[in-house]
Amino acid sequence: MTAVSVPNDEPLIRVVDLWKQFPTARSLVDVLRRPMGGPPSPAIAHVSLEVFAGEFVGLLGPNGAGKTTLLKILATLITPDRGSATVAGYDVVDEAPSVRKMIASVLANERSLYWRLSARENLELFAALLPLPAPDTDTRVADALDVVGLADAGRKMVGQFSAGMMQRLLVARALLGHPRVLLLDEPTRSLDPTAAHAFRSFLREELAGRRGCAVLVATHRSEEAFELCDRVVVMNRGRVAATGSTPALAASLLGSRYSAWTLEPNHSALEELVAAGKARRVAVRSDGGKWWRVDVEVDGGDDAARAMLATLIAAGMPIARFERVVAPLAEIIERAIGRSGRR
Amino acid sequence: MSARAALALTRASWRTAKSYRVSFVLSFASLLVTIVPVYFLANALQPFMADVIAKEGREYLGFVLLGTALLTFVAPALLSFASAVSGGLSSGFFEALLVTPTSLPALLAGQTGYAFAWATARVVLLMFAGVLLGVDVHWLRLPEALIILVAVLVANVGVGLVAAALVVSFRTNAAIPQGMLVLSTLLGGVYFPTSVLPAAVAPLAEWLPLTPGLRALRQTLLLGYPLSSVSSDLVQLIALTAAYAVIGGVALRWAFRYARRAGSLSQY
Repeated sequence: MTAVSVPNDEPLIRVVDLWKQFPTARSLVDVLRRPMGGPPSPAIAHVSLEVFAGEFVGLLGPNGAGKTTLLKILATLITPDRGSATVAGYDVVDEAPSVRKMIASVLANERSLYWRLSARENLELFAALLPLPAPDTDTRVADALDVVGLADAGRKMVGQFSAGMMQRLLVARALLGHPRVLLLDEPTRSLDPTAAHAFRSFLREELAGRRGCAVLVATHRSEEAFELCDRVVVMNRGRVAATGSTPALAASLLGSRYSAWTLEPNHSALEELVAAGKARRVAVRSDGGKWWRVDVEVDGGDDAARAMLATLIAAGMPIARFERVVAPLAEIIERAIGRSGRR
Repeated sequence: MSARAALALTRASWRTAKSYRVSFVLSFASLLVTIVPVYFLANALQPFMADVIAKEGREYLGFVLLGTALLTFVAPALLSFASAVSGGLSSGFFEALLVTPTSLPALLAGQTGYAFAWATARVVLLMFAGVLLGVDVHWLRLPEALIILVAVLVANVGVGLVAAALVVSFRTNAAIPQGMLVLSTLLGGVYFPTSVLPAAVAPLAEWLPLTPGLRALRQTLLLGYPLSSVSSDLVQLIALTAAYAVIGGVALRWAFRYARRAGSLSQY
């Protein structure tokens, strides 16, 4: 089969007004009491999004928001009720076999590996399930192991791997077929912070940078949303609550947030700015000594923050350090959901 | 790609089984240990069973040996599909397979291939031991016997697919394969001919693919009859095979469509 050639300005993932509602299991008593039942809430409702080649898009939202359902619809594991979803131009329902040639997913956990086989044997198995010429298998397997940094552990039994190594092997498995679209569900969930950071760098450079994959990643981690994703889609109860780049969303929902280290957290100049509505004080914390960290939100981005800093210094407020801070992901999600009015 | 995929999955199961070395060796050893008491028991019962089994063979050892051999094939046909689907769904392995471009029949064949290969190895060993112990087999009838074997297998695979379909849809096989295996063992004519069954259960035995299959197989391999001489059993077997295979195929197809709609195809 020849792959459909998708122009660069066309999205590799296109979801239009997607809707999915799962049948709800009801007890006999409930059925007798309310034969028609109440309207079950949809897992996905009116979701539309596009992901382009080389782009990382994050799906954020609380549990039950519909992130995994959306990934599984794109992976052809779940059939949508309404709307359409295409991958590289193929419809996920009508052309599912073609979609499966374009995608790879890391949705399942490490139990989906053969623990009694070596990493290499696991990859050889999945290479045989892909439309790869048999002579290319060894090279692809070696490349995939090399890319995820497991070249030296190829002959080791997977059962002896750490959680991080297994996670990397799952990614290696996904990369075997050189997919154009990658679906990831919490890819760093079992990694320690250092390993997770290295893994994110690898994902960013290898998948989006070198391979030009379109990557859709469901995550709860703010580092992933900020470090990995070009854009994020905040979902709640199956609906898109907000969309945009993470810093832009943080700025629009929370204002830009800055920290100032000062000896006088209640300095009159700061009080005047807060009273005038030019800054909002979020938190004041002592560092245990004589310094205080004051977190403020400022509308208007870095220019407004620079002006505020100049005002404070001119007024004699002692400031040792002033920096922009990353807003907590939970707060961004909460504000996005609150603003969309569907809490 | 499908055959390559099925072989790769079978090889992975083989490598896994081989990695449990002691259990692997013991399962072969247990087969040899089992055949010795069967040999003595069959010889002891020969005077009493000779007349009863006359239509299907002359020696009771050969009669039991063929019954056991066919049952050894029937067990994976009934059990392995539901078991592979159930295990794969709970570990997430099945989900990972379904996202690949490999077709569902190839995936199922690959996931159950080892069980059938293992059954074949056991049956070969069983028959070899039987021949060493003096069982008289008409080997020239082997091609006809293989046709019967395939028909029995396909029929039971049909039932196995129904069980797999239930697992995919409702996460339970409703004990269908186990029930069918018990019925086949008790009523299918494995240890005694179905002619001795009480009238109340005899009609039930005729709905089991193993019953006409074993009758035809024994007459072919133990008595040397050609297929034309076992035509009535063969027709019955083929009818059952067609019915069960169609039901199994349709059930599985429906189950996957339902599971994709209900979202139950994913890991749980």
